Amino acid sequence: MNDWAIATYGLTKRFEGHIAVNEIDLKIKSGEVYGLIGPNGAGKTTLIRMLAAAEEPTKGEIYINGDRLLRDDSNPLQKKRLGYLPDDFPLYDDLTVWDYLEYFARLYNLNPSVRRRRLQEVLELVQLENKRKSIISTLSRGMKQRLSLARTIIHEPILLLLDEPVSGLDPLARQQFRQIIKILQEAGMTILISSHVLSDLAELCTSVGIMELGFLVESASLSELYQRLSRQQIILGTLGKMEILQQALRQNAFVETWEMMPERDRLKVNFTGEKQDCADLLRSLILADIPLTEFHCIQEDLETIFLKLGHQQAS
Amino acid sequence: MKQNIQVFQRSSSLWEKFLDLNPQLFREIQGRLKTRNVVISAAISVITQFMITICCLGELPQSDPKQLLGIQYGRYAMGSGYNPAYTKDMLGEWVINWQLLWLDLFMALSMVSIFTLLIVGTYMLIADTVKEESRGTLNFIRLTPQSADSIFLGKILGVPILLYVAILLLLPLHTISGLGAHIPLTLIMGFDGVIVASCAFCYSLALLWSLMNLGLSGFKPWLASGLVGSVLLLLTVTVFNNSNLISNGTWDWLFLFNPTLVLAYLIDATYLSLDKIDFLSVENLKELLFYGQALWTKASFGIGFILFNFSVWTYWCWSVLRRRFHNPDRTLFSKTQSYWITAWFVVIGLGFTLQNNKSYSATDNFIFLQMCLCMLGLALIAALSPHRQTLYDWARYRHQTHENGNILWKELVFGENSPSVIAVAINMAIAVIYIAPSIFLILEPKDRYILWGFVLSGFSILLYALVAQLVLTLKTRKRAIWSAISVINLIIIPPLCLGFADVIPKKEPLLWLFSFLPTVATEYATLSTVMLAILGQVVAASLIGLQMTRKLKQAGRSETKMLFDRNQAISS
Repeated sequence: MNDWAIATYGLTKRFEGHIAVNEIDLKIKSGEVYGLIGPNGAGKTTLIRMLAAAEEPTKGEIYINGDRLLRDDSNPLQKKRLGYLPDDFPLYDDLTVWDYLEYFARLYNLNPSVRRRRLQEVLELVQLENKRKSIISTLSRGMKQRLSLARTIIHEPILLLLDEPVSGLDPLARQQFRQIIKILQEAGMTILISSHVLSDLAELCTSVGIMELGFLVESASLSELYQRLSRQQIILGTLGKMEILQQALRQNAFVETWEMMPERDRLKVNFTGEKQDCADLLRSLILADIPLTEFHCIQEDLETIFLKLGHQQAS
Repeated sequence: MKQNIQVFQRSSSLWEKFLDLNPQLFREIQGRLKTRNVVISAAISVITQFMITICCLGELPQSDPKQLLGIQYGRYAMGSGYNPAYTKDMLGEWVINWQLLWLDLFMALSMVSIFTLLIVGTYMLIADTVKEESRGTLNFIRLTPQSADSIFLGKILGVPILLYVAILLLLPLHTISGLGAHIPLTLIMGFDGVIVASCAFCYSLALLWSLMNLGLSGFKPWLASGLVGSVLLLLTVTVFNNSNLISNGTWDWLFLFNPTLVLAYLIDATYLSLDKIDFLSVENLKELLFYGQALWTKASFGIGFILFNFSVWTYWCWSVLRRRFHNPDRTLFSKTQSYWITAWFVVIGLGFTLQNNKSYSATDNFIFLQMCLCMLGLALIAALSPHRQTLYDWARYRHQTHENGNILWKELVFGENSPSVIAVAINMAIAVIYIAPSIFLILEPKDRYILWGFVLSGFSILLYALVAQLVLTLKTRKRAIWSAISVINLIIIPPLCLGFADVIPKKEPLLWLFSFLPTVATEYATLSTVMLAILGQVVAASLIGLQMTRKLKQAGRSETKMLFDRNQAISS
């Protein structure tokens, strides 16, 4: 049990007759970045709130690094291990950035000697050094979100729970946020992150869980998920006639189907073979004197996998 | 210069260390103790002191060397009566009762401090906590390793910090005027201690009120501070205009919640005539008994017991606060807590009931105690009854989630989230069992009908608890309000209907035995009528209990069983 950063057993939460989270057995290894995806109302936020001890489970147990998580003041050490960033991020508008972070550093019992250094570190990390004396109400949404993240990590937690941290951010702010997450991952934090922006998760996560109607319908490492559910595709471009290329493709056993791409001289091929088979196909096409301009192996992305699994509820 | 810097650094580091002890206090001080705010509070404090002093000095005689003004009357003249004439001594100087002037100043400053601290402080604390709760920032504080004690202590010390600054500035004049009135310093400090204890109690209660999910967020601070102000004003006015306030009734207990009561000892220490002060006399206070013992005869004992009273109820507020802070969805009290609170309430309440051996007075006291018990019962119903979701979760998962989930009686008596009815019944039983022997020992046989009043009230409360719990399981949106309306209707409508129908307790006691205060009829009821009423209540309680059990059993079925039952119903 101690190997898991998070382990839940039969975790359930009911609200007025409907089950928001249903018998979830979630296990996340230390150091992982675990992406939680699913349509709205799938139970992601409720699950994260229970993991952060912000919500009482109806049933089930939660273990953080092997210790039972309880919702009282019997576990101050466990609370120091957790950092939770909710999707809404209430702040004290009357405080300055520095005072706000200092207040939370004190709440997490950071020594005075460590406190100042840590405050500077997190401000640097979230790129708010120049805003340290600004009143919070004057910050932009992106800055407020970064400040909330700074508050979440001020006490150097070993487990971060981020609920839709990039929602409502512009592309630049999202990129900045992604970079921060990567740095935190390199620092060894275990991160559970829920988001609707699947391309971000594909870039950040090592494992992914898919939730639907309160159930955890899929939980696997990203590589396993790709291996299992993502088809390999090859983009082919030619200067010659398409018919000749298509004829050559028909002769290869690993080519399933293909489709014409919007540009008339390109094809997207669904390929079932391994890397060696891919190389053999390329060799055969060259030997067939087909004037190739492009031969590019790609995999179906996370969004396609998600949709392919039938999780097509509007998000 | 260097030395100055070192001293500053040392004091700053001491200040830092002090603030490190309580981060919440640090945040409150940081947010509020701004120069501008401090200057404003200091100015208000100084102006108030100035105004009070001027008012007192205004009573002094005017300088009149040519004796144009004639005889001058005033409060501080040496003589009997409230406004005697000023006289001059052999040197032609006015003879002035300076001690009384100092006492008036002391009393005025005390009143201002008590009213400001309790009313404004309560408002500030509730407004701040309600704001934090509605904004969601309190949730973040809950997730930190800080204990509820540390957070609430920080709030109590920090939120009204500007108020404390203003009161601290009153303190020198307050102490000087007390000493000027010849009040011993120890008594002044004792009085200050009582003010601190009353603030601790009132502020703990205020925090508890602000953490209740009543859906009154914006109105909460006004309602609470208004209530505190009204009660305090009422109690203070009675203390001021009534030198024979203590009437050896149970209600005397209420006066112990008024810190101004202690002023009686302080005034007594001045040896000034009471006809000028018009305040509760110590002689009267000495008549206050607890289980027949006069504990308020000496100032030290009196102040000690008032402090004890505040401490006990502050402790219980605090223990409920701890529970509520970490899990705001839980019921206000745990069942075990409720037993202890009832026990304390009854032990102290009965102590003040047993003050008088005169039978008619003792009977009145018991009837008042019974009313208090009914109020406690209603409060317990509100504090112990879980809502629909919690109750359904308990019914569905208690076998899996609770340690004693399979032992139903343990769950109902001690368990978290289980229905409140049995716990309310136990609380009522604790009260009645403790009170019953004293009814037999103190009251004459003809007055022992009071006991049936307690028993019937207990059953009524049990019925109300069942109805409240049943309404709380309904699928409506405002269940808590409907539940409260149902119970209020059960209390008000029967006596109203009986009154309109001209059914008087003396002629038709049976119907009145089902009302909120059955004691009005027990006097005229025979034993068989009382037994019939108890039987009726038991039958009603059983019927509602059965209905609730059926609902909970339904709620406790698993989804599979529900599907199975539905399929069976369709196929049959």
